[in-house]
Amino acid sequence: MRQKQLRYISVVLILAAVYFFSARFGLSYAVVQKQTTIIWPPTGIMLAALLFLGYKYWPGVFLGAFLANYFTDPSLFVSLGIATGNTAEALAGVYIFRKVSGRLNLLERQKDITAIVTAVLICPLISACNGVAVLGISGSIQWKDYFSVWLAWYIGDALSGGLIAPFLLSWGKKRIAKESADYKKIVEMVVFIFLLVFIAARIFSSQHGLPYLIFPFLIWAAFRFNQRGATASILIVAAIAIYNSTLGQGPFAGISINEGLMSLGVYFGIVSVTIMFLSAAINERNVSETRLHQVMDIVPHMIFARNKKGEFLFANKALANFYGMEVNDIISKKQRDIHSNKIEAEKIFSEDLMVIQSGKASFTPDTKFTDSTGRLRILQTTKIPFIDYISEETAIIGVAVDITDKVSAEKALEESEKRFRTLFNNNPNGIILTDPDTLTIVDCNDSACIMNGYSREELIGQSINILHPEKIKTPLETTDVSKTDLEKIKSKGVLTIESEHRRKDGTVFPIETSMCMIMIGSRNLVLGIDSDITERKKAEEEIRRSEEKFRNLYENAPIGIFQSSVDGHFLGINKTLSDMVGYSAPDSMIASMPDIKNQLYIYPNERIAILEAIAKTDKFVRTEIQFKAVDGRKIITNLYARAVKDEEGKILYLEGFVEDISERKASEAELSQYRENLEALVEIRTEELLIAKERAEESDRLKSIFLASMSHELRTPLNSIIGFTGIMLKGLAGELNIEQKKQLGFVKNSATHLLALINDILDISKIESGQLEISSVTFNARDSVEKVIHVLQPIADSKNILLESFIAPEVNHITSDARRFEQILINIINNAIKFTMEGFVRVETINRDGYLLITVTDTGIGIEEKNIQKLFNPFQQLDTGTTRKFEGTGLGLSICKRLLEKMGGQIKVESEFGKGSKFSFTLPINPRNVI
Amino acid sequence: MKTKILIIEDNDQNLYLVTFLLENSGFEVVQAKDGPTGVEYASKIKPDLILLDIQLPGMDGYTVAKEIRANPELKNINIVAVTSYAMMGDREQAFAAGCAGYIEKPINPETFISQITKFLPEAKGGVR
Repeated sequence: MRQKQLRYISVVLILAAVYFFSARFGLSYAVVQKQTTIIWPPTGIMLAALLFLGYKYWPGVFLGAFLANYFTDPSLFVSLGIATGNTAEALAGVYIFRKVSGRLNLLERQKDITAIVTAVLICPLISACNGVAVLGISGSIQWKDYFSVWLAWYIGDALSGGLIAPFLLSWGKKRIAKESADYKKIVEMVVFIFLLVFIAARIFSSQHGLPYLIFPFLIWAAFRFNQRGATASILIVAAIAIYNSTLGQGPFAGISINEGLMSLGVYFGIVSVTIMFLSAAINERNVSETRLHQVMDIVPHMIFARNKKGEFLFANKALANFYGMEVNDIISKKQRDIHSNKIEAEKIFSEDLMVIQSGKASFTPDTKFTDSTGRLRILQTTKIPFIDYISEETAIIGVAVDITDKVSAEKALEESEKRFRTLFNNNPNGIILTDPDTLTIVDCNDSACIMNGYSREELIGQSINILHPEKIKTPLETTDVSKTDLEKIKSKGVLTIESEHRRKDGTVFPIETSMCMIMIGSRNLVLGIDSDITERKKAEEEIRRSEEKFRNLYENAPIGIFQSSVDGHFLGINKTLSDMVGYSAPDSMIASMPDIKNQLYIYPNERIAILEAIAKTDKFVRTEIQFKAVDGRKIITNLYARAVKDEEGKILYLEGFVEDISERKASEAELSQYRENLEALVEIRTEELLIAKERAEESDRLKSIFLASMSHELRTPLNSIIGFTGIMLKGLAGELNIEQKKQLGFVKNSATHLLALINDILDISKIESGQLEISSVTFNARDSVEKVIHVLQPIADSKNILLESFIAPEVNHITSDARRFEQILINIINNAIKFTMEGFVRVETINRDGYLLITVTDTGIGIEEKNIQKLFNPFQQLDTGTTRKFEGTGLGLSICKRLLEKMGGQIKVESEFGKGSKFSFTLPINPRNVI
Repeated sequence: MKTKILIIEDNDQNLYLVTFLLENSGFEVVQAKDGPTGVEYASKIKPDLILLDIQLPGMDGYTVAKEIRANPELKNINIVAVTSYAMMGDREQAFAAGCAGYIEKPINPETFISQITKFLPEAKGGVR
C-alpha cells in the first residue's frame, strides 16, 4: 500500500517534471504571449501519459502545468487557471479517445486514428478558451489579441496532440503485426532515414521548397516501416520544419514566425492525419493478414490453393503436417512431387483440373489418401475455383478435413451400438425399459416381444400393466403393483419378484423379473429383466411332489429310518422307529435320547464297532443289534448303517434303516427246531429209501438171473427133445414107420414152437426191462438180405410161393446191429410166406434219404382195417378164432417194431383184406448222420 | 485119421446127443464133463475143434476158453461155444474169452454138423 502510494507520488512528480521541462522548452518559442506558444509538447506527452497510466495521474499534469506557468509569470491566478484548463484538456482527451476507439490506448486501426484526431481537435478548445479567458481576465492580453492568442493556443495544442501523442502511443505498446528485422530492412531503414532527413532539410530550409515532396517518403515509411516508422518520420520532418521556421526559413516562413508556424501547424496536421490513417489502414491489413495466417495455422483442417500445374500457391500448417514438411517448403512445389502415393497424386491432380475446367466446386466426402508416414487417412475435400490475382489464371482453393478418426469413431460407435443391440435383442431374457413416472414401456428387446406375444411397436408406449393379468381383470383397482415395486427398487437397488405375465393371446405364464433403476442419458428408467419360469415352476412342482413322495415313503416306511450324529444323538427319525422303541412321536424320542449308545443299545460297544465298520466303506453295513425299548423289552433288529462323508472322507453323520426282526427271530428259532426234527426224519427216510433201492436193484438183478436161468433151464430140456427128435426123424437111430414119423413130427413142431415162444418172451422181457443192447457195427446190408432170402427160400419153395428179391445197386454198407436186422428181416419175410397161400412174396431193398428201405409185399390173406392197429401189440396173432392155422408166437411183429424203434427206424403196414399186405421198414444207414 | 472133437459139457443128455450126431457124421469125439478136465484134455489130445458149454460146474466156460487160449500150443484149435445162455452179452463174452463160434441150444440136428464144420481146419473138412 505504502509502496503503491510511493510509486503513485513518484510517477506524479515525474509527470510534473516532464510537463515542466517540455513546457519550458515550448515556452521558449512563445511568440504571441508569454504563456502562449505554437510549440507545446506537454499536451501530446500528457495525453499519451494519461492514456497509458490512467485518469488518476492527473495531479502530475496539473502540478506540471501550474509550475511551468508560475515560473513564467508568477501570478497564482493565471497559473492555477491555466493548469486547471490544461488538466481538463488532458482528461477530456483520454475520455474522448477511449469513447471513440473503444480501447484503452492502442493506436492501430483507422478507428483509433479517428479517435485521436477527434480528441486532439476537440480538447484544445477547452484549454485554448480557458487560457485566453484567464489571460484576458488577468489582463495579461488585450482583447484585440484575443483571437490570435486563442488560435495559436489551439493549433499548438492540437499539433502537439496530433504529432507527439501518436508517436508515443505507437512506440509505447507492443505491436501485433511483427516484421522480421533482417539486414535488408536495416539497410533500407538507414537509407530511408538519410534520404528523409536530407529531403526534409532541403525542403524546409528553402523559401522555394516544395512541401508536398515529403509525401512519397512518409508513404514509404507508412508502407515499409509501419506506424512507428510513420509517426517517427512525421515527428522528424515536423521537427526539421519547425526548426527551420523558427529561423525564418522554408516555405512557411511568413510575415512573422508565429504566422509561419501556424501555417506549418496546419500543414503538419493534414500530413499527420493523412499518413496516420494510411499507416493504420496498412497496419489493419497486416494485422488481419497475420491473424488470418495464425488462424489458418491453428485450423486443424488442411487449407490450400493450387494452380493448374498442380503447384501449391498456398498451404497451411495442417497440410504441411500431412506431408511432414514446413509450409514454406511446400509453396510452389507440385503436389505430385510431394505426395508419396503417385496414383493418389494423379487423382488429386485430375480433380483439380476438373474444378478449374468446369468452374464448379467439387466435394469428395471420403477419399483415402496416404500421408507422409504411410498411414491411410480419410479426407473430406472441398475445392472451389478462383482466379489467382498474380497469374490471373484459374486455380483452386480447397479445404480438406481429416475425418479418419471421426469415421473410425463413428464406425466404432456403430459397431458398439450394433453389438449392444444384438446383446440386447438376443438376450434370452426379456428386457423391458419402463418410464418410472408414467409406467409406459420405453424399449424392449426381441425376447420380451416373443415371450409376451406382442410386436415391439405394440409394446412401446403402452403401460407396463398390459402385461400384468391382475390389472386387466380389475382395471378400476387403484392400488398399483408397479408403483409399490418402484418404491422397493429405490430402497433396495435391485428387486427380484415372481409374478405372472399375460400374453397378447390371453394366456398367462409365470415370470421372474429383476428390476433396477438405470440412467440413460438424463432419463431415469426401470430396467426389467424377465425370465419365463414356466419350466422352472414345473420342475419345482415336480420336486415338491417328489419330496412329498419321499416324505411319505420316509414316514410310512415299515422300517425305521434314522440320521444320527457320530457322537450319538439323533438328527432325525421316522415314526416307525419311534413306535418300534416305544415313543409316542419321533420328536420326543430325539429329545429324550441324547446318548444313543447307552440309552438304546443293550451292548453299547456295538455302536463303536458299527462306527468303525462304516468308516471304511460308503456302503450300508448290516449288523444285528439288540435295542432296549422304553418298556425294557428287548428288540432284535437288523441295523443297516452308512456313513455320510464330506469330500475329504470325514464322517458328517450316519444314516440307515432299522428293521425289527424280533418276531422273525422267534419264528426262526421255532423253525430251526422244526428243521432239526425234519432232518432226523429225512435221515430215517433216506435210509429206508436206500434199503428200498437196494432191494429194487437186487430184485432187478434177481429178475435178470431168473430170466437167464429160465432161458437156460427151459432150453436144456428142449435141447434134448428137439435134438433127439431130429436124430430120430433123420433115421439116424433106425428107420421109423410113417405113423411114427408123423407123430414124431408133431413133437418136433411143438418143441420148435415152444423154443420160439421162449426166445420171443426173452426178447420182449429184455426190451421191456431196458436190457436190450443194440450194437452199432458196419456191415453189408446186401449180404444180410441175400442170406435171409437164402435161408427162407426152402420154406417158400415148399409152399410153392415165388420169393423174389430186388436189391438196388446202391445198397451197400450200413451201420447198425446186423443180427437184429436179420432177425427183423426173417420175421417179416417169414410172416409174409406164412400168410400167403399162393402167389408171391417180393422183397425190395433200396436206399432212400439216408435210410435203408425194405418193402415186403405179399399176396396173402391181408389184414382187416380194424386189426391193423393191434398188429404190433404183443400176443396179438390175428384171426385168433382159428389158432394154430398159422404157427407163431404172436410176438414177432411186436418185437420187430420195438427193435426198429431202438435202432432208429420205423415200420408200417398197408393191407387190403383178402388181397395181400405190404410191410415196409426203414433203418438209418449211418445213425450218427441221421440223429 | 479121423477129425477129433473135444466136447466139454456137463449135461449127460446133451453130451450124448452131440456125441451121437458127431460120431454119426464120422468125427472122433472126446468128452469132458467139467472145465478143468476139458482144459486138461485139450492140451493132452490137441483136438481139431472144441465144443464148449458155458454153464459148467467148477469152472465156467469163459474161464475154460481163456485157459485154453492161454496155451500157445493150442492156438490153432477153434473153440465153439454151444450154450443155452441167451442173455445179454453172452455171445460177446464168449467171443471175448476166445471162442470162434457161438451156437445156441437147443441145437438143430438138421444143421448142427454144417454149423461146426466151418470151424474145422481146412485139411480136415467134413466127412460128408
